[in-house]
Amino acid sequence: MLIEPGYLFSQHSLNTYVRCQRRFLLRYIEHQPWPMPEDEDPLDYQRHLARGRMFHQWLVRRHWGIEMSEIVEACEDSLLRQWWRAVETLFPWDALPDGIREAELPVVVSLGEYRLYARYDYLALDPQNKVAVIVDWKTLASVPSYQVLRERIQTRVYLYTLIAASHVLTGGKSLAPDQVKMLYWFANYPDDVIEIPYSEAAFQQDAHYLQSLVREIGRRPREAFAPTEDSRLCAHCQYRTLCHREVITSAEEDWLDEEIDFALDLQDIPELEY
Amino acid sequence: MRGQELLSLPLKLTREQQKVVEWPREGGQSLFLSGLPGTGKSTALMARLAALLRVGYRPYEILVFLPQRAQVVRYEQVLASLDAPIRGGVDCLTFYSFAKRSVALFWPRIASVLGFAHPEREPTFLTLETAQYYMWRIVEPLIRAEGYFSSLKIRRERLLSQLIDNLNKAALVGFDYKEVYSRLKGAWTGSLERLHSYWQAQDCITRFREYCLAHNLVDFSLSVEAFQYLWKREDYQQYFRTRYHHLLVDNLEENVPVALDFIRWALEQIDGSSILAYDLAGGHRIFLGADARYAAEFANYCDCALECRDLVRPAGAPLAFAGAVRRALGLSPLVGETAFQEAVRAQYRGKYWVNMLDWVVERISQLVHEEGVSPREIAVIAPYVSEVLRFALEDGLARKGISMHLLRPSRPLRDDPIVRALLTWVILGHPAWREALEKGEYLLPVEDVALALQVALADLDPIRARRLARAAFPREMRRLIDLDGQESLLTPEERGHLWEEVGYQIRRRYKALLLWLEDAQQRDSEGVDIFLSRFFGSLLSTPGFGFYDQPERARVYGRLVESAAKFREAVRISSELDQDTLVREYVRLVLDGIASGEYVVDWPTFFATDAVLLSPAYAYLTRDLASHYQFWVDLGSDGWWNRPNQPLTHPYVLSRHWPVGRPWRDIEEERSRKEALGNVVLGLAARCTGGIFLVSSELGVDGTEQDGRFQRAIVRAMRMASNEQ
Repeated sequence: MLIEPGYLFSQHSLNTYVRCQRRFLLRYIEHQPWPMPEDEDPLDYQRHLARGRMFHQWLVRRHWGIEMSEIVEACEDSLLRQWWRAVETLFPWDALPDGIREAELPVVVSLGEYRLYARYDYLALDPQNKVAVIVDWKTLASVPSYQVLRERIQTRVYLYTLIAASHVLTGGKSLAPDQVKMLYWFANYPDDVIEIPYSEAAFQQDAHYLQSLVREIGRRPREAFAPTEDSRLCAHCQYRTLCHREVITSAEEDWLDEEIDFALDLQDIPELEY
Repeated sequence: MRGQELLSLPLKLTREQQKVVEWPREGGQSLFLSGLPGTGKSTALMARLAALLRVGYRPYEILVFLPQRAQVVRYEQVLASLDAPIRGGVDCLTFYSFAKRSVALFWPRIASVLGFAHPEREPTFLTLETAQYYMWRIVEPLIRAEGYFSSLKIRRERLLSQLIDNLNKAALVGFDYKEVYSRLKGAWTGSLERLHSYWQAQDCITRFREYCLAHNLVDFSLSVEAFQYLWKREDYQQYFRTRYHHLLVDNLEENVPVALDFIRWALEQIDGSSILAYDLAGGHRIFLGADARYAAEFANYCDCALECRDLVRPAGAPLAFAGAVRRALGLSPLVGETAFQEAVRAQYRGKYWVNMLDWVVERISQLVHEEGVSPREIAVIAPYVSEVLRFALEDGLARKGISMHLLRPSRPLRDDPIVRALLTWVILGHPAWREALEKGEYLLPVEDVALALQVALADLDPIRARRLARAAFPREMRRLIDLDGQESLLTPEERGHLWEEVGYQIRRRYKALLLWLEDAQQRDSEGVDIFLSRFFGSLLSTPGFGFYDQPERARVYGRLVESAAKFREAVRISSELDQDTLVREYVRLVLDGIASGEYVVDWPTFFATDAVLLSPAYAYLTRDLASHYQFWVDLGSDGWWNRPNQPLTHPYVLSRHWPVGRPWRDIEEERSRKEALGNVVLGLAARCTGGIFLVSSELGVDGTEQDGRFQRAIVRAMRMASNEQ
């Protein structure tokens, strides 16, 4: 079997699988380095990632009550400063449930014989009234539609994992799906908050969808991980020469967003042997 | 423990393991769990972790401290196999990861107190490579202008690593880095010259520290020192108490003193439960500062102590053998010595090294092909792994259809021919850098150009690559030329012969390489990583070139790109050097053998490989690996007995247990070596569940006679056993 029981799926890996099975295989199973640039301007791309990571780091500090004003004032990146001012002043902090607040919270739940991983940028949970909101900080250049976000695998994975793990997070009682929601906040468009409510039906649907998806992946032999038929998706894929793909035009898809995972990046930093 | 063997917990736990699982979960009670390797301590901790998750404790409130990242992977795999609704999200970390994460988080509150010149700016955390680079920028002018370290014959990378090691030791042991000189001087009993070198070492590390503080650079030592300050602050204590309620520490004895200080502090903060596992025959990471003596004191700091006495892994006979060897070394056996002969599956002692290797290959082949043993159950353990040993064993096993996996950390990147070839392309792609490198006495040899061509062009063997390089890289011009153009030094007839020999398909590809380089030279300098990525993407990974459909070779390429990107990222932010100079500096860094590292991408392949493992003894022990069969090779080599030659540092003197001013004499050296070897033997035996093959040769690989102390101790142990019978 290519994928062992206990394998850790994430919104990133599932999203990749749905778009291109071969990219999923190369990136998440075989960890295949293929060091070609994913973007025409790799430095710009790297700056974009670094800025996103820094923004998330600042928000974690904010969560722990660490004063940020001096750092923000001295920061030479005006866009980052602008994002910070927006989140400080325009984000509805007080409207979030109170009781438990966590930043960069990892959650890993069972999904059949596999595991499903989510990392919430911010979780606000009221165990008394049993309501919760997952906040996701987005640094995208444009705001996707409600429908796109509703169908996005990230939304489905995050809301599903929250319900599946809710008895642990609250310290005993489970949350009902209709008492949780996901809130996307856009640093470049701070007024365009998008809230995605949840429901028992959506939870059941997501459970079925996610379980079927990982079962399908788990049963697949190596050779069945086919490259996507939509070759436009290959424009921003590092593996395009490995897959022998000639790219003509690029799709309006944001592979970039796949990379901004603050926590995973921290774990990947090589250590000294001490 | 390799592969899948210990990925899931046993169905039935031992009595001690059950006690660990049932240890009170509230009230802050702490338990000190000790025992020999193989008595199931790690399994007990994993079972405890599983139990906490099964009953619904929040995973992110559990902190698992491990001395090495390799062990983190093992804990993750156990979490993967759990039968609980929550199967992850636990903080499994090394001390350094934890310290660094904490310092990064609390940076705005601590930077000014720690003396950083720009506390209002984010810090740059240095990797080992970038720390060595900055150290080199400080040391090089002192060597050139003031003759520093002239009395030492030492390679540049070893000089740098020892200077950095001194800083790190000071931080990890917990003394002021300004005391390095006085501590080394106080213990030295040799010539005055060495004292000068110690003083120069002190001067270099002091300058390095000042540079880091002035430029917001946080190297390993500063991370650790900052963390020592941080955890004493009330606000951090508050954070820690809110964040963590349960603590599990595996291999406590492999931790450095400051990590142990922190664990001792953490015991007082944790309000749920703490369990620490201590290996009685551990402390192998002494060269990295591990302090097993201090770790043993935790039996007194914990509320309760429990010893695991029963071996879970059937390593009884190998352990008895280790006990006998320890006795022959004049050490306490620590374990019973009955029936140890069973442990030794076979012995070989021949005259020549190469025959010894042939014997090892034959025996492994018998195990695999005749006895059905899985290759992953076999480890070949040497005092250190030379390139000759690696090649001879890998080649021999390959001829038997058996794969080999090499565990050799910190191999310089330049040792890989693909890396050297790619750096040659970087130099060829940047004529201005090449000139600057040549001023620094680095002349690009035609052999390197040949290798670069061989790696870049598919189907080009070394002989034809050399032929092409001689023509394409004229000595007078020192750059690649268009062989069909005006600057070609060949007559049309010679040119015809050349392409006939080299191949006409190569002609077109060579031209493409030249065109790509010309095009690249028109762009602004972007960094080695970007240059190489573009080269790979637009040419080398396409048909007719060296990386087309070559995923394994691309792994090496990926490592170099990753290393270069990290260098650029760390150095860019804080350096006054321009981008072009910075990227040139990287090439020098690698060519000088400084850049090295064990990369994350290496780990998954290691755990997935069904291959015989070849490993130096210390690497095997510190990763806590285990095998059914172990081949202890080169037993006559002094490498088993000697510690690495480190003229500018000292693992024992720069520890908490060595009083400042007390001389380190031969008698202490003898004792420390004996103890280190005794622990290695015990550690290896405890990780062997089947049998040991003892292998040696009278002559070493270089033809010199070998009669090392380890070999003699083994012979004495065998003789003592037969006399007693």
